[in-house]
Amino acid sequence: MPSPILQVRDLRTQFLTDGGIVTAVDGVSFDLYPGESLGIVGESGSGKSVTALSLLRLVPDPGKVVGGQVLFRDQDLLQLSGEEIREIRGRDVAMIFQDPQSSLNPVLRTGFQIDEAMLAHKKATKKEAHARTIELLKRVRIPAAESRVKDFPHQLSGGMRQRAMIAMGLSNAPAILIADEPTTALDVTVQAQILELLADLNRDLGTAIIMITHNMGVVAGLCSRVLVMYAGEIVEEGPVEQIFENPQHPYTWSLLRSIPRVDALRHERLRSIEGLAPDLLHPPSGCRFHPRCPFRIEKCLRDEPRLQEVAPNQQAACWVTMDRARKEMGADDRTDIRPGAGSGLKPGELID
Amino acid sequence: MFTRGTLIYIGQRLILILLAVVGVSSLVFLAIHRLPGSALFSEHLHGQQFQLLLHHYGLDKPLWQQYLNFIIGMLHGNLGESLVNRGVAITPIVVREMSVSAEVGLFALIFTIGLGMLLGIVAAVRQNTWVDYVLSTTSVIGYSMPNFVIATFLILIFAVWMDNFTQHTFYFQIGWSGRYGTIGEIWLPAFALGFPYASIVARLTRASMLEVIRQDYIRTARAKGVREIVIMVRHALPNALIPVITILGPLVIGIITGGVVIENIFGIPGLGKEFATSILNRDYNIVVGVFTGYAVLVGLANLGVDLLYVVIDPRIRY
Amino acid sequence: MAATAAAVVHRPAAPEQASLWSDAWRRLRRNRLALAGVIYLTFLVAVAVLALFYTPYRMSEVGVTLPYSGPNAHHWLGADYLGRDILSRIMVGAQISLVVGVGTQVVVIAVGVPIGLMAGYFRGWFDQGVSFIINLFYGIPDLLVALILVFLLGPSLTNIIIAIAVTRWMDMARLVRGQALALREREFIEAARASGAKPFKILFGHILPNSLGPIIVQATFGVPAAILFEAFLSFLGLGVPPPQPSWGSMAADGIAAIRIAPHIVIAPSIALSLTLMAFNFLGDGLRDALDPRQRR
Repeated sequence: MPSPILQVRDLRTQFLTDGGIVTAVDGVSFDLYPGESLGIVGESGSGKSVTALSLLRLVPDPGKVVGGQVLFRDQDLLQLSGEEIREIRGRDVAMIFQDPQSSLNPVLRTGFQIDEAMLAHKKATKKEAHARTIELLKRVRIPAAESRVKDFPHQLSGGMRQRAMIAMGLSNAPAILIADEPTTALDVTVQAQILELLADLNRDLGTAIIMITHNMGVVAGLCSRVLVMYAGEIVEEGPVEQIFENPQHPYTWSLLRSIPRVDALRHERLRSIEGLAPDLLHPPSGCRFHPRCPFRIEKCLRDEPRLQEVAPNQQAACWVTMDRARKEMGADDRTDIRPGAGSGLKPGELID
Repeated sequence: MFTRGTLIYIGQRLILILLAVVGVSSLVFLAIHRLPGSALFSEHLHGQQFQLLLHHYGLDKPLWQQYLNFIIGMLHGNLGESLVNRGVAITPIVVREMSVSAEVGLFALIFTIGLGMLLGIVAAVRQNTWVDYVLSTTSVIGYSMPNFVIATFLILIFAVWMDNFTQHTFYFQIGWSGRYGTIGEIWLPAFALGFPYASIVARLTRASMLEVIRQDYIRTARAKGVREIVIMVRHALPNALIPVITILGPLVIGIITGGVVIENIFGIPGLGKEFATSILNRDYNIVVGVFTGYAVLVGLANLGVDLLYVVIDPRIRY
Repeated sequence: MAATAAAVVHRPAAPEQASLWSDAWRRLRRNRLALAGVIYLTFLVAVAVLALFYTPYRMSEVGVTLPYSGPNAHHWLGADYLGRDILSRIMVGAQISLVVGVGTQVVVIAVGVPIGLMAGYFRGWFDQGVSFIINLFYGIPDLLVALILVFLLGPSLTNIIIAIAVTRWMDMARLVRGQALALREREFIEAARASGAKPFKILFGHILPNSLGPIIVQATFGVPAAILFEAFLSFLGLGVPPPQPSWGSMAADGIAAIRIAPHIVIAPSIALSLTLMAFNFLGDGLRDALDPRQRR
C-alpha cells in the first residue's frame, strides 16, 4: 500500500458566534492516498464543507482552525506561513466550489481567471498560460474554447462555469482536487456530465479527489472510499461499496434509505431522516446522533462512541451498530427494518 | 467594451442632453424675462437712448419673438450679448469658463474618489480596529464640514499661517494665474471641493468592500493561491467600485454645484464665479448663459458616469 | 433563512409600538456620539432662545468696538469688519440656522409625506407621475435651483425655506413611498382594509405611524442638509438680508479679511460645522436605534 499523500489528524475548527463557540469540525482524522477519490458525506451543517476549507485554511472569518494537523508531503499545512500556504493553494491542492455562478469573479474574463491560477505560481508566462487555458477548456469539454476564454462568467451557462472552475482547479496539475458540492447548483443532466468529467480526470490524470457532498448518489458514482460526517465528527468510514452494502452507523443507514431508487418497491415509501440536525452551540450529550436515532440505548445518551473497526477497512462510531440492531430485533432481511413503522423498536427499547 | 449599440446610446443621450439644455435655458430665460429690461432702465439713460438700447438687445419685441430669437440663437451656438459690457459675446466666455469649471471639477472628482476609496478600503481591511473607528468618525466630520469651511481652513493653514511661519519662503499662492490653473493652484480648491464627498465615498467603499470580501469569488481567488494584495486590488476593488459608481451621478452634480462657492473663494474664473458676478452686476443675459453652461456640464458629466459603468461592470450593456 | 425569519418576527406590528420606542431610546442612549449630539443641540436651542431676549451686545450695532479686533475679555469672539460683536451675531445666527433647518423639514414633511403615502399606496398613474417628477428633480443640480428660486423670489427667510424645500422634498417622498409600498402588503393593513377602513384612515392611521421611524431619521438628516444650503446661499450673498446675521454670510464676510483677522471667519465656520456634525451623529444614532437590522 502506498503512503498517504494527505494525513488529517484530529482537525478541530471553531466559530466564535454571538451565542458562543460552535465547534464545526470536532476531531476529524483521515488519510488520502495518491490518485484516490474520497467522498465526504453529510447533511448541511455536518461540518463537511468546513473540513474541506480547513485543509487549506480558507475558513471564513469568525471561524478558526484551533487544533490538529494537516500533513501534506510531510509538512503541516496548519503551521505554514501565509506565503507558504499560498504557494500550496491552487498549485498542489486545488479547490472548486459549490456555486460556479458566485465563485467566478463577475468583472474578470473567464480565461483570465484560469490564467491567473497559473500565473500566481509562476508556472507559466502569460502566453503559455493562455495557451494552456484553451487546452484545459477543451479538456473539460467546453465547445469553442478559443472564443470562450474571452467571455465573462455571466455569458456562460451554469454547467460551463463549473467546467471552467474545474479547468481552473486542474491548471497547475495539482496532486489533490477538493470539490465542495460541485454539482449541487446544477441541473440534473449537467450534474451527471460534471461527475463523469471528474471521474475521467481522476482516472486519466491521477489527481486525488476529495468530493464533498450531501448526496450519496454522487459518492456512489465517483468515489472509492467514503467518510460520513455528522455534527462535526466522522461517524463512519470505509470503502464505498461496502458501506452501501452494509452500513453500520444508523445515520449512514438512514442517509442511504433517503436516496430515491428506481428499483424500489412501489409501496416502499422514500424515507427522510426524522428530526433536525443538531444545534452545534449545544451539542447533545453522548452520541450526537442519539436524539434522532431509532436504535439508541441508554449508553448512547451518556458516552460518546469512538470510531472502531466494524468490518475489514470499515469503521463506525456507534454503540449499537446496525448488525446488532438487526440481531436484537430478530430481523433477518437487511432491508426489512422499519423503525417507527409500528413493528419496529421504540427508542430505548434495546437493552445494553 | 464599446459596441455599436453603445454608440447609438451615446447619440440618443446627446440628443436628450440637447433637449435638457434647451429646456433649462428656456425656463431660466422665461422666468427672468422682465429683469433685463429693468436692468438697463436703471442706468442713467434718457428715453430715446433707452429705447435704442432695448432695440439693440431685441427687448422691444413681444416676448414670444424674443424667446424665438433666443432659441434660434442658442441652436446656432449664440447665447447673446452681455448687458453690461456691450458688444461682448457670451458664448465664448461661457465655453471658456465651462472648461475651467470642468477642470477643477475633474481634479476634485479624482481626488474624491481616490482618497475616499483608499480610506474606505483601509477601514474595511482593518474592520473593527481603532483605524476603522477613527476613519468612520472622521468621515462624519468630513461630510459635516461645508466646503467653504474646509476652504477657509486650507487657506488659513497653507496660505496664511505657512506664509507667516516660513517668513514668506514657502506658502501656497491663492488665485489663478493663467487660463488654466497650475497644479499648485488647483489642489487646494480641489481638496476643499472634494473632501466632503470623499467622506461619503469612504463610507460607501467601506460597506461595499466588507460585502465583497465575503463573496465566493474572493474565496476562489484565495484557493488559487493569488496574493492577498492582488486579491484586494484585482478581485475585490472593481466589484466594490460598482455601488460606489451608482452615487457618482449625484456626486458629480454636487461637485459642480459646490464649485459655485469654491470658485468664488479661490478666485477661479469658472462658471461659478461668473454666476455670482453676473448676478451682482445684474447681467441677466450672462445668468441665462451660465445656466445653459451648467446644463451642458451636468448632462455631459452624467453621460460620462453612465459610460463608466460599462467600463467597470461587464454585465452592463447599452 | 433563519435571519430573515427572525427579522420578520421581530418587525414592529402596531401593538408593539410602545416597546419599540423605549427600545430605541435605550439604544440611542448607549451611542455616545449621538448623545453628545443631543447635548450640543440642546445647548444650541437654549442659546437661540436666549438670543431672543438677551445678547451681550445688539447684534446689528456697528462699532461697539474697533473693527477687526480679536477676541478679548469684553468681546469673547472679537468683532467683525464693522466692529459688531461676533458672539452676539453667532447667537442670533443660531436662530436663523435652526429655523431654516427645522422649517425646511416641516415643509418637506408636509409635502413629501402625503405625496409619498399616496403614491406608494394607490400606485398606478399617480405613482408613475410622482416617480417621474422625483427622478427629474434628482437630475437637476439642487443648489442651482435654490439659487435661481431665491434670486427670483427675493431673499427672505420664508423664501429661503421654500427654495430649499423645493430642492429636497423628494428625499422624503421617495422614502415614504417605499414604506407605503412595503407596508400595504402587510397583514395588519390588509386586515384594516378588509374591515372596511377608508384609504385615508389606513394611510394616516396605520401606514404613517408604522413609517415614523424612517421618517424621523430622514428628517434628522434633512435638517443639516438644509442648514448647509442656507449657509451656501448666504455665503453667495443670496441668504437672509442684512443686517440679519447668518453663519454663512458671516463666514463670507470673514474670508475677505482672512489674512488680517482670521477669527471672523473661524467662529461661524466652527459653529456651523459643529451643528451639522451634531445633527449627523444624531441621525446616525437614530437610524441605528430605530432600525436595528441595518446596524453594522
